[in-house]
Amino acid sequence: MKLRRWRRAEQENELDEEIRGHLRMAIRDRMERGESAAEAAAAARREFGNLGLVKETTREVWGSGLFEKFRLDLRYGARMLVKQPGFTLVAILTLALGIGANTTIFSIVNSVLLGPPLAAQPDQLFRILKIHGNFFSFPNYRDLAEGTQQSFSMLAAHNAGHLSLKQGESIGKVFGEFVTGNFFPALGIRAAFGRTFGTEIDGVPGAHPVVVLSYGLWRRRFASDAGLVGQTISLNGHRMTVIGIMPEGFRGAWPHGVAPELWTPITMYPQLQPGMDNFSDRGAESVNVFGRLIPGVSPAQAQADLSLVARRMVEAYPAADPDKNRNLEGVRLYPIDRAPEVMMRVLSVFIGLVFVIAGLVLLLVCANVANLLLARAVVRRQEMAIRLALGASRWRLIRQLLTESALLAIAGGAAGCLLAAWIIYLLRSTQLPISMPIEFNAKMDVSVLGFTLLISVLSGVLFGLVPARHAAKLDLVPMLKDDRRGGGKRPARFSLRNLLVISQVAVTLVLLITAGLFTRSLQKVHSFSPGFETERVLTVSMDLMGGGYNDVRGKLFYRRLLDQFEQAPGVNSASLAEIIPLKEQIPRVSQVAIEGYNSPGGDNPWFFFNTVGPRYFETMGIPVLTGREFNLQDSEGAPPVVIVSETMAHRFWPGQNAIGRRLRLSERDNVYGPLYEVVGVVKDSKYRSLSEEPRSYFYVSALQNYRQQVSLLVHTAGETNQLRNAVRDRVQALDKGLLIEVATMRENMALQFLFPSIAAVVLGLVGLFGLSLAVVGICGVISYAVSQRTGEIGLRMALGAQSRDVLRLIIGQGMKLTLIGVCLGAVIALGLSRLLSRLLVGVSAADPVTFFVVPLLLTIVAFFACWIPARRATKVDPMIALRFE
Amino acid sequence: MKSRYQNRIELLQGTLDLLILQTLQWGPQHGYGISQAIRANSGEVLQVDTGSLYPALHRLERQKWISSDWKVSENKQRVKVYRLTAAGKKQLAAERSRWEQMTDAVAGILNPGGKESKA
Repeated sequence: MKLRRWRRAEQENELDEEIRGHLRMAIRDRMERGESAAEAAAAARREFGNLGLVKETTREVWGSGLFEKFRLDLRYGARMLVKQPGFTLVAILTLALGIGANTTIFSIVNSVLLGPPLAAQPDQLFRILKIHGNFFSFPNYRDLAEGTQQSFSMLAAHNAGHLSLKQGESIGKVFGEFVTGNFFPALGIRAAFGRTFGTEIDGVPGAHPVVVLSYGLWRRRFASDAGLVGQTISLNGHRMTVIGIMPEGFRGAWPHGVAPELWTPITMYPQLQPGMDNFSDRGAESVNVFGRLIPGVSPAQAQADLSLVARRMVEAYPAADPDKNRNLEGVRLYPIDRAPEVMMRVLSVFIGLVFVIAGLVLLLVCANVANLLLARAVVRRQEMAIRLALGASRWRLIRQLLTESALLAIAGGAAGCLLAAWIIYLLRSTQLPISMPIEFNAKMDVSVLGFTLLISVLSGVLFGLVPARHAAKLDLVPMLKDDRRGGGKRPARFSLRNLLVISQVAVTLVLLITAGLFTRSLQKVHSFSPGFETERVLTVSMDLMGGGYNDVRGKLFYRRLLDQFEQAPGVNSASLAEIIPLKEQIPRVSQVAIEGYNSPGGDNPWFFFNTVGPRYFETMGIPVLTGREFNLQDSEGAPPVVIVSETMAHRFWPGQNAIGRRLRLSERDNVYGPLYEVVGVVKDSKYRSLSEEPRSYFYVSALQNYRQQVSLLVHTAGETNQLRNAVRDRVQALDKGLLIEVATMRENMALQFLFPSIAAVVLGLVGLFGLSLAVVGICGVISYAVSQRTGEIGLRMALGAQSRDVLRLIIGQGMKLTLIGVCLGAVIALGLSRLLSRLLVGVSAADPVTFFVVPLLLTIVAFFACWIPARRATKVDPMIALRFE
Repeated sequence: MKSRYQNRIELLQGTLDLLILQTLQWGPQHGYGISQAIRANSGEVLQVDTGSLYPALHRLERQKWISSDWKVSENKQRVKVYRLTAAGKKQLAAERSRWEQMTDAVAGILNPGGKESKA
């Protein structure tokens, strides 16, 4: 490289010397013929022709000139950019925002959606799934593992759940996994500190009270204590020895960012989660299964093997229901990083939406930079003309301009990378308020940098082509004549610049309208009544299993709890519920067989339902329409009772009295329990999301259906927050060791506000960014138009036009573009918001307020963007302007 | 000024290479010398544009048909001198025969009678 440059310099010197020699000899010859020294020199120079051109064309012969020219273009381009720091800074910052946003999103998608879990040779790892559902019963897992040994070197199972971790006096909830002994060996990842466990734990239940912690948990809860390995911690009330800490980024076998916080042997399950027989019940589906293929075995072979074993199992254990068997027969293999997960489908939609927005932003940015470059191209016409006259080819000019664009794009990309790295840093320290820990393990790795480079270059070409095309059409003669109106023709009405501005306005309007819709939705969410009391209810969530209760003791505990709060001061009423409405919680669903009702599809319908205590509806402020609500007598031994929602009553018994009707429930496929009698119909409320349609829903009595995880609901008489501690104390008076969480109803609903808040803020910011870009764009176009029409304006003013007329003329031109953009944007926004309607609460997708106010505001802003350059036009002195003609 | 160049003819594309090679056959020469020789030998009719001459020289050198050396002239100044290489001689022969073919062909078109008489 250095040698080459040195050689090039030498070549350059030699060419100079050769040409000097030529001139010298020519002069000498002429002087010998009798010309004077001055005459001879002048004539020789004239005869020689354009020195620069001769050198340039000779250099081209030297070849490998492509690289050389590129280097020169680069140097020249860099110099041009440095010479105009204002322009360069604006362009680079704009690009940095656009590219940074896209890079951030890509890095999240890359790690959360595309990233395989941290494992040795992840391409050998496969997740085993059924047609419906991801879970296998433990006995089924064991049979699969034994039957497929010629395909899988290891088939491991894991079972995730929440555990209570006690440290001193404080108790916290952690998301842990019970795993088989071959879990760590199958993943092939060793502990960062200490060790993991292996198949030695697959034996006697309860014999290995050990636990391996995630890096994140170790850092968060144990302050990265180096001495933790070897010590014991308390999990669900049991002493467990910490034997190792996993390296950062280890998420077990989970794809998509779900990050368990600790791993403990599956044989510890009976100790830590008493009362659940997971080892022998073939119907209790609880474990996820994945395996490592033996090298050389193809996935298709393994699949055949697996299907065979599954079919044999179906024959060997003819379970009561045929559905489950069919399900098992359909067992399939998925690469571990591509297993379909329901939650991820939702997340994908969300991320897709974000990608669309980011893409729009990048387009806006490109449009804007293109516009800036165009404005500059006008200024640089003379420079270009001179270069053309000096012998540069048109292609050379275009290449020069493209090089400058590329330089800008790369600089913007680099700045965007820094921005993205900063955002990712912020994101990594954020924890979403959901119960399953998701780690944004986003990193700036090679694929992310590659992506950034790609979009930088793409956008560079995109916005660079515009001025380059412009340069290609330069007309030499009028430009050299210092004609600042360029070609002298009036620009076409819909020139490229105008189209850019129109599309900018349209995209900005789309962004602002969606932001507006989400803002309105957010306003509505806060004042929106979900159909139950949100202000004066405290909830106390507790996990009796984590507290070491079995169902006999648990039932007793619930009775005592209700007794405690029956007469408590400041409490209007109290009840129990398994599901807190609108809290992000795993819902409970059941198939319902209604007496005297035949489902049109054959299969009985599935509904969400809740298990609630006496006085639930009173406590929650949900009106009972007919019949009664649950009371203390609706307990075990009494006839099973159910309360249905208005919508459900209307669906199955339209125009009739629902009281006294009977139905059966099935929480497992087609296995039905006893007959329940409807004793009440309650008003509809919101159950899972504020934007949901009224749906069929029902309630069963908590005293008849024991649940290990319930919440105490307390309707307070006075100031709710002040009772927090009193309520906590009252619960802890019954059991000090219980993990409890006290929250207001509003806090439980936080997730409901999260999405519209994020959407409103992000879209709003992006929209404002777009708006500022559009303002710059409009301003630029109008300024350009004014400079083009200076002569015309001068003429008009000389002929008696007032500044008002000139203002109208110029602003009219800008407003025409704006209005076209606004109409276009409104139509697109209308189409798009229809897609978003499911995410909007209490606001119609065609909300008239938003669709009126936002375009109006945009138009006003655009008006001022036109007004500034238009005012300059009125300052035109007719004399000066006309002199240019 | 213009009248001085009136009866000079712009060189045909591609013929410059031939003329340079032919000029160098009489001995090594520098760029200025080549242009002067072409001019003199064509009876002041052919004018070699320096913007074509130097690129052509450098191109021919790249193609290894001519080579160059720095020599010190009688005025003690360094000049770059070009000479014909063996490959250049072959190329010259090829170009010459091509040129002769072409002039024959052009002459035949311009003068059909003459062609007939020749045959």
